[in-house]
Amino acid sequence: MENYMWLNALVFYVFAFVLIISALFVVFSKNPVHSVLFLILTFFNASALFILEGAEFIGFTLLVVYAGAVAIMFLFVVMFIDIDTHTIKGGLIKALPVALILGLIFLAELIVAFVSWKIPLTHVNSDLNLAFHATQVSNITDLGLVIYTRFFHIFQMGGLVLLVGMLGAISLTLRDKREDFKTQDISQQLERTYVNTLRIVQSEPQKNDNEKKDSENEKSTETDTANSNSNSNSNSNKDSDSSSDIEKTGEK
Amino acid sequence: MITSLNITSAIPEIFLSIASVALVAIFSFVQSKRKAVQALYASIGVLIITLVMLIRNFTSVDSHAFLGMFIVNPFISYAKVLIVVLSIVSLLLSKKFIKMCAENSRFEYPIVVLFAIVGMLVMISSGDFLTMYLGLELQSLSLYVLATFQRKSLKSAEAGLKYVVLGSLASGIFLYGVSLIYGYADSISYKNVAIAFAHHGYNKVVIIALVLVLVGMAFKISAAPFHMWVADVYEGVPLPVTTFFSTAPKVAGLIILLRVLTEPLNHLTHDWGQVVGLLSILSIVSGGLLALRQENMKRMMAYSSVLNIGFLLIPIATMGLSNNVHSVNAHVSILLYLTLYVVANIGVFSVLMGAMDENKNSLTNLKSFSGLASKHPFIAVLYTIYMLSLTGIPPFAGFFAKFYVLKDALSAHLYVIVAFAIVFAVISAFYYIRVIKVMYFDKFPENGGAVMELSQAGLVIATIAGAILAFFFLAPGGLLLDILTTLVR
Repeated sequence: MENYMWLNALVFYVFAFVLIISALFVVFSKNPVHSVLFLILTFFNASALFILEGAEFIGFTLLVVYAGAVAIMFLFVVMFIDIDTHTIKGGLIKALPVALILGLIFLAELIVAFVSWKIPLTHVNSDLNLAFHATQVSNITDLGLVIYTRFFHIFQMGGLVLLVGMLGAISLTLRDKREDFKTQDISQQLERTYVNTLRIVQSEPQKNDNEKKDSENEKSTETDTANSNSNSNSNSNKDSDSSSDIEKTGEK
Repeated sequence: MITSLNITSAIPEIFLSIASVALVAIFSFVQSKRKAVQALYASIGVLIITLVMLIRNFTSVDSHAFLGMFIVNPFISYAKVLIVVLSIVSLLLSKKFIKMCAENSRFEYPIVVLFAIVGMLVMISSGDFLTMYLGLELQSLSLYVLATFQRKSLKSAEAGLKYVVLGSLASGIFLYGVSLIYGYADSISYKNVAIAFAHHGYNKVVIIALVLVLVGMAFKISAAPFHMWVADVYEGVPLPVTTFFSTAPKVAGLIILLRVLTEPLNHLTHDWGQVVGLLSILSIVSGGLLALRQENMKRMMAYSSVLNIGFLLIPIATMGLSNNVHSVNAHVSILLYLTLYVVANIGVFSVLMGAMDENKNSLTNLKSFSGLASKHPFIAVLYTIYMLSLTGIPPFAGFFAKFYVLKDALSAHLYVIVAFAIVFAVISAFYYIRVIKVMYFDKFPENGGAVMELSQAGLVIATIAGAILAFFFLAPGGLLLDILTTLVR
């Protein structure tokens, strides 16, 4: 086992290095689309690090949720919205000196602090780390053992947080008074019979030459009325189309 | 190992969360034009039931639920009752706003308020950092939604965006601090973290963690220098939301700050005492100075809240610097100050909500109050009471709040903080009393003066708030002090 320690370390450093480089590219790349792609790369490497440390559930969740869903949504947003990257970068350059100084001060503090860290590795109080002590079972089994029992209320609170997120997103974006909504009323569609949709239109015989044109005109007016009906009783567009079809055959 | 979750002491919160989820489900299917108002009444009903449960749940001893991750004691219970009462009041005040916003039957506003309250209640009775963080996030997320709720208003959107971005940054910083504490103490429960520090002492990493935690929480209660968002958010969001923002979350944030500092971090008193003292002085100074030039009442009240947070941090700093985390006086003076401050705030905003121009647009500029006393003498008197109380002029209630805070700090020999507090309380008197001057000595404009159209609930609430503040020195003051002292003991 000891022979493979170097391999473990090597894999760790490779992933950590790529993680940091791609995180830097997220901030500094000129094209926002590239930024998002680097963000996805960052997520991949972070999840690899988690898996390496034995927290495979978090690792896979990171992949599925962040790389799979969130980052892709980001990509869509970035591609759909026209962003003026010049002004954004201008702000970055303006703020860079201050940010750099503050960041360096914080980094120095962290280094000083961590160098002097002597961890009291005694585990006096193991309330959370039971998941990591039991090495016999997998990470997911461990989570399953505690998440619905010991940490039940925390699980439920997480659910509430997600519910509020959803509620907020819906109430902020849903406009339910839009006129051009095409909704389908299935019961109404099923109730339709040919008796109350078929209409015989009398066409005059002397307009033979213009018949085609006329019928087309009629068709358009018919669809118009059908459309205005659909606003009130929410018929689908398909209905009006089919009704005009029937009418055409009736004419013939 | 797991014997029982012992949920009895958490029943009000459990009821409130189940009821809120149920309300979401029910009102999604209600087909009614008055849906939003119905949701408002239903929410107020749920809150009243929760209030009754909370009061019945008062126990003289600490009780635990969820294996010690949820703690209830009289101090926390009082804060919870205060939060729920404040939420009921601010919901009562927001009826007009909800009607206005309900143009397309958006019923979510009162229900999101309920979720915010669930978050606050869980947060302040948390027994470990994970529960606390989830409560904090539930509260913040609901507040973000409330801030942007008036989606057609550009200002509201701007305020919401600022709040979201800065708020999530603060959450991230806070979480980083907690993760360092976990890394050191190998536990996230308050009790065990305290034990770990007691056994092993602490090193520089813990100090950094402490500072990060404090930064995150100072942002949430808008203590300077993390107050930049507060004026923009207060100004941008609609008035009922401002009322809610400036009351309930402040109570919750301050109580949890106090608990985090005195429970898990009680061996670091000297370190956080200095930081909190500095935060307090900075808040007092910046709140006092920045409010001077504000012409908008909402912005003025925002900076006034920064100033008051500064005052509220003094007892915590006192506890830290005098190394006495169980100080009864400090606990009592925080609860007293919080109570009286939110009462004054509710009063100010409930009156402000009635101020309209002829076209029923809300008026928040100080100028529009000129000569108010000649048209609406009663409201002018109420406003005078609020302002004098906020300034801290005896015999109004605000004086006693400030008095107890400063007396405590003086007996702990914190002369610098007390000096700053007194000087800037005097400076703040300028902008508080300017409102009175504008109302009584400026002329009512020939055209375009403010029309006061308080709703009935608004008038009742404003009168009660004024009465509490004005007659505090008679019976209610001593009563409240006695209650608080017995609760904290």
